[in-house]
Amino acid sequence: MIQLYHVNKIYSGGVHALQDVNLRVSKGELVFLTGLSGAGKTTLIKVLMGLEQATSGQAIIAGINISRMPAKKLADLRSKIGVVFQDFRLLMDRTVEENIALALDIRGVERAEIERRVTFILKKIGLIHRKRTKAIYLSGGEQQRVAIARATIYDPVILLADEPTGNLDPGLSLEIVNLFKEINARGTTIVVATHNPLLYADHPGRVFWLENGRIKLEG
Amino acid sequence: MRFSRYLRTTLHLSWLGLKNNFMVTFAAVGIVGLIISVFAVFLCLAVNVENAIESWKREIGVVIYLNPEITPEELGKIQKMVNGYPGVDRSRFISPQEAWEELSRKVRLGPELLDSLGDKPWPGIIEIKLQKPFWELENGAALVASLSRLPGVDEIDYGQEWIGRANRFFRLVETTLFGLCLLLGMAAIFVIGNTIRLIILNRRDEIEILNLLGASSGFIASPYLLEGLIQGLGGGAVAVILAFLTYRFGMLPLFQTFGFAGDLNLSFLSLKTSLGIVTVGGITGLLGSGLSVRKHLVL
Repeated sequence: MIQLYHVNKIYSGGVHALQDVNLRVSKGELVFLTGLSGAGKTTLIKVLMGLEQATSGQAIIAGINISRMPAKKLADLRSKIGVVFQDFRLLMDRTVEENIALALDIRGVERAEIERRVTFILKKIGLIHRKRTKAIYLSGGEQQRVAIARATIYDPVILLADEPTGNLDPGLSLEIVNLFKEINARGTTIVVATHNPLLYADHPGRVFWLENGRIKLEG
Repeated sequence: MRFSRYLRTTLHLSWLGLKNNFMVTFAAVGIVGLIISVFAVFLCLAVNVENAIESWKREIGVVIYLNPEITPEELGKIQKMVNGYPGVDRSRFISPQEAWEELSRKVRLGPELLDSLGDKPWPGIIEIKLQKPFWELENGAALVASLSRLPGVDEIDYGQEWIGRANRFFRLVETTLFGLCLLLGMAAIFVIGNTIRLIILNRRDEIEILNLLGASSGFIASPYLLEGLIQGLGGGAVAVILAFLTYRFGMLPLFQTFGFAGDLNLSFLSLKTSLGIVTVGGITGLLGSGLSVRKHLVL
């Protein structure tokens, strides 16, 4: 599902953020990328999202080689990927329902179907009572759950999360991880970048340790 | 995505954008409206001054003083010849008796003053109104020179020097007013474009989120373009309303106070011009929004 071959990323200031990264993530896998701050986790996630282009190497995501893809064509890739950020990236002046529906509006889903799917997912994440609440009035944990709902409501084949629990306390962080596990159990491939060991402590799958832009350990 | 669905989604997202940014939308429409209204008021003033000048020019005429001794047959021939001249719009013969009555009525001369004018015979007069191209001094003067060569014409009153000066003054007034309108119009377009551009800039996070969710550039841009168009059209409509209120409760009473309103035949901007102002507002809003969205479309 995700294949990286000898990927390097050098920023214009000369910072070598990724060095010869090779990574294969199979369909339906849940993997964690971890490491200290500045190790290259966020850059790697951005390359996978198509937000950054690799300086060299090949990145094939969901069957699309995005290595030299013009930025304008990346919409195709992003329509297959769900993304979750540390800062949630919600539209704070819109309601929970409007935020989640946006992902379906983009895909041309009929309004009645949007209504049905939003209600379903809100029940699933336990926020049905907050349906018409503006995002700005939600707690951090609630905001992140809405962000995850938005990222998964269109059934993406891959879900990428960059420090999804960075702004949450430990209790809420575990709640979010459990949510990821539930989504993964339905077949979605998930890559989570985090520096929080609590998230992957009892994870049976693979965890990649990044250091100075290289994958040092795979456990 | 089907076009009808695309359109409905665009309308839905535009509505959400306008509703959730109500105060910003309100302020944008207000700013755009105020700026265009200054332009519209000046345009209204310029159009009215232009009309007033034109109606004044329409009254420019030539007065032919005829030899008092011409016979009615000769008069008929002269009138026929005058009416045949290119540049003559219409003419009217005023007999010495009519001229005397008109003078008495208009000037309200006392009997002793009328007596003092003596028994000298009065000339008959032909008053001529000119066609538009002959309102200009050069053409008018050439016509007068030709008319003066007609038999039975004693003297011609045209006011050449005065007309020349008035025309130069009017040209200056018209150029100044329309120049000001042009400057104000350009300033309005610049400010509207930038106001809407800044509003969209303020919502760049939204554009980035739509990008991340996999929306195509066209899909992302459409609601913002529509919002820009609506804000521009709204501003244009507010401007026309403000300009009309200024005209109705400012310009008109002011001219009435000075007794000009009746003579000048003041009027507000035509429906076509008003719609033109609203349209320009809309197009400028659309362009401002388009430029801003384009900058943030590709991540």
